[in-house]
Amino acid sequence: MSYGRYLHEIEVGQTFRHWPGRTITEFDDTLFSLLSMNLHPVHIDEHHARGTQHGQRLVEGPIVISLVIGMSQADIGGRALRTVEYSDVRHLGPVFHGDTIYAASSVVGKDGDVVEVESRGLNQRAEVVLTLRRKIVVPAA
Amino acid sequence: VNYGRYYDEFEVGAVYKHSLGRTITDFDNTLFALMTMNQNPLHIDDHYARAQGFERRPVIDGLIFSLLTGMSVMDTSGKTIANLGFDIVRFEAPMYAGDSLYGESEVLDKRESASKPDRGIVHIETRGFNQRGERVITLRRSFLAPKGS
Repeated sequence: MSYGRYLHEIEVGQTFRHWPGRTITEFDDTLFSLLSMNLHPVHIDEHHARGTQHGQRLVEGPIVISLVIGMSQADIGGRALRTVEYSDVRHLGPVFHGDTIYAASSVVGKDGDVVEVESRGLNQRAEVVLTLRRKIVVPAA
Repeated sequence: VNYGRYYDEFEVGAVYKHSLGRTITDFDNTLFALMTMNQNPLHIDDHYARAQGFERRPVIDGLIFSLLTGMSVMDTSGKTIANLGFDIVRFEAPMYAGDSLYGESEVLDKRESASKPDRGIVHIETRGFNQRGERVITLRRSFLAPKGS
């Protein structure tokens, strides 16, 4: 199977439901928070987190963002040579340990070799937890 | 040790230099790419990356983004109630394994919550630099900070 798309294979208006999804574990969240030097206790201290709004640890935002982008690569950006930017990144709901994230994307722009993609992350109840846009540079072949 | 800031402690226009940098390794890059299901060969296959005209495989964007955000937390959102999102994350230069990332954050604006008097929204710009002081990434984000003692 091919991974990602070249420029001529991408058109504005294309939509994709990415597969498979991925369950985010406690291990993922602790590992990524610490690897990225984020020591906010709501991600790494269950005892502290029990006293906060959601009563449990929350998965760190950049993990969810990076995972949704990663899931979209097989269908769209898997051959991209550069990421220009992310924009309008919105956390619309909390993600907890054990939640499963699925992703869907639409191609919303194409200007020369720069492709703009809008992606959504959904949990196992199909609630949208994240939306974002990003621009990537895709080669012709 | 104080980790993060209360709403009242953010001063519009202030720039906080994040005191800790971090060298990004090949292991970080491969681990991050694969754990996030990102198999773009550019980041996990040196041979392929060289064939695309790179000196070697560049560090994946999500890692640079996550690390810069993470290293900013101790001076900014370390007490936050909720992260609202990122307006923009701009990748300005590639990084390679062995490069170090450093960061600083500037407070762009802040305002009190209209509905809850115990918190406010803080908007910051965080900038990342490599070991030569070259800008590699700029991001802007908003979060809810509690008012505190």
